[in-house]
Amino acid sequence: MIDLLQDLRIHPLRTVLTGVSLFIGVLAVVGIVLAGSVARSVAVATAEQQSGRSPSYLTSIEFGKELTGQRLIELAHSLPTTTRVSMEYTGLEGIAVSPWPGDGGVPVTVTRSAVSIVAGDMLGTLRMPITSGRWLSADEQTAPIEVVVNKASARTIGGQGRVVAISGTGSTRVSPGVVVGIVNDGDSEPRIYVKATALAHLAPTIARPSGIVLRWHVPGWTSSQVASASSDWAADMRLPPPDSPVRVDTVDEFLPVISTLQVSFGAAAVLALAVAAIGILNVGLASISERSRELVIRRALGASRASIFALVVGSSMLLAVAVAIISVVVAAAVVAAFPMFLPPDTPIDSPVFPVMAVVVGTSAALLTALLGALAPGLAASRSQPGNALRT
Amino acid sequence: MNASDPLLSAVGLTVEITLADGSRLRPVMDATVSVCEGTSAAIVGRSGSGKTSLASVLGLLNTGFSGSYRFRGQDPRDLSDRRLSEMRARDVGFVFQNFSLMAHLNATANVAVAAQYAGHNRADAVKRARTSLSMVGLGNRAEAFPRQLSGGEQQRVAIARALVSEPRLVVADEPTGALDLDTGDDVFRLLLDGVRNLGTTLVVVTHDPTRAGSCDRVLTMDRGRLSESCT
Repeated sequence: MIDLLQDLRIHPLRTVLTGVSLFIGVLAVVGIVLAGSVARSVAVATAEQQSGRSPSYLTSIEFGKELTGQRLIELAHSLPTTTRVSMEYTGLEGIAVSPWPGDGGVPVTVTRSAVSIVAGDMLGTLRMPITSGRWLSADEQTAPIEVVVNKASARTIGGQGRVVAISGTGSTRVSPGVVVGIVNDGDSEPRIYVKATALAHLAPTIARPSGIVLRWHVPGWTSSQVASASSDWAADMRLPPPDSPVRVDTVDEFLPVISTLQVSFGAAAVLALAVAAIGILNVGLASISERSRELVIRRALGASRASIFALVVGSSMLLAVAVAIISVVVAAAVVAAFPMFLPPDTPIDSPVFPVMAVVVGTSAALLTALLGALAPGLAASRSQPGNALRT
Repeated sequence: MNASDPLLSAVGLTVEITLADGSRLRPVMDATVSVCEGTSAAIVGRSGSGKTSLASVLGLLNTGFSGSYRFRGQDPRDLSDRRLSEMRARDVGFVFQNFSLMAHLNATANVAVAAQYAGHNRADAVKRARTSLSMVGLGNRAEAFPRQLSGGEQQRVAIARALVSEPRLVVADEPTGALDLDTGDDVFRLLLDGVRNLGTTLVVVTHDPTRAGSCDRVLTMDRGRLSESCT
């Protein structure tokens, strides 16, 4: 080990530059994998915000008649809990949410199309990070009605604690609501989320849906499995049969593009490592040429071919191991620091330490160093001790 | 093997070199010589007479020869590279004309390298190196790097390196060739004293007849032919 360290000290600057080129190669691999992972995460998050987690299926059920508030509550409570399913009312007429008069908010009425009356595992089926506050609670009988707004809506209605007026065309009654949270649903238009059961309990005359849409997100399930589950649930709830499931998530459309990008990035990383390997090979051969006298003397002093080979390759490998350790530490620090650069309500998942990328990167660095040192090592081992007396 | 046995013996030894242009050169032709343990032999001759080529074979650096050569009873051509390297490390020390120290190692490390190749562990090698440097009067310069040493001091480090493993044979090729006269005398005397103290055999290539005369035997090379001169 000491011999190898001494060997690296022959040309400190050369050693440092070789190490830096290896370091860049490893970081290129780790960085590119990380960038690919973040790009994938951004694309997936955006798609899942807008069209649901992958896979997401929608099944619609038209009631055919108006259901009572109690029936609506039964439906919401009967949603399967073993799978991720959420429910949203359809056919709502005239429901509107506006700032409560005198509450200081800008008097903007949010149209009915932007009010979502929901139930079930909404956050499990759509990717909606909470920017501030919280999601709608399980408490559905305590006034005022809880409301969650999206970021666009928060700009017009106001944020947490804002009191709003919930009204519908079927009733002259206006029910008070309070904003309990803001979500980032990826929608640039104002949207407000209200819990179906709370509305049914506290203002049953406001929301009179003509049907519901069920959103299913069960990884691994096929369309027919969703159809079967929907039909069973509808039958259990004595509802008309649902429409055929429609897959709505768009993540799969992005994945091939992202995969292609990742392959391209990977190729760039391999290229970076190849350049590093050629650099090491070049430096190694130049170094051996420069050290030919020293190596011949070592041979004369009793170094075997194998020990000369081990000396040259070993010092390169020692450098590569040192670089690999530094790379792992730097990669870990970068990954740990990454969330600090993301907005708090980002829909993307914080990148996890790319173990595989680091393993691949450091292995590639070791392999690169080995490949770059093999030819110089072989050249060095061929030093002829017979030349020792000839200078 | 006792002191009167030859440490090395060559019979009809011929070294043939193929040059880049395809022509062949025989720097050593049909040389016959034996050198007993603990004695010293100088090889003298004009430049290009084959002295260094002969010393290379005798010092186990070159196995490309015809005829017979045995070192401690063994033909070096029968040995693998590993075994030959081991034998060279343990049994042969070298002193080169241009010192040939490793610039990135200090004096102790330069000497210890030879001891390590001879099979001593690092700690033991360093201990031996310091002792050997003290023997050549460089105990206080053990940590100095070659660039910090004079030519005479560098050659003394080289002598310490050659003797550190207490080898059977020291091959010195023009050990004073790069030194001024007085320094050369000191170094040559140090070399002779060193090998005599250890009972080591010395083969020294030199142009200087006076220094050659201080050896037990003088072998003369003339256009590849070896003959023994009276001293």
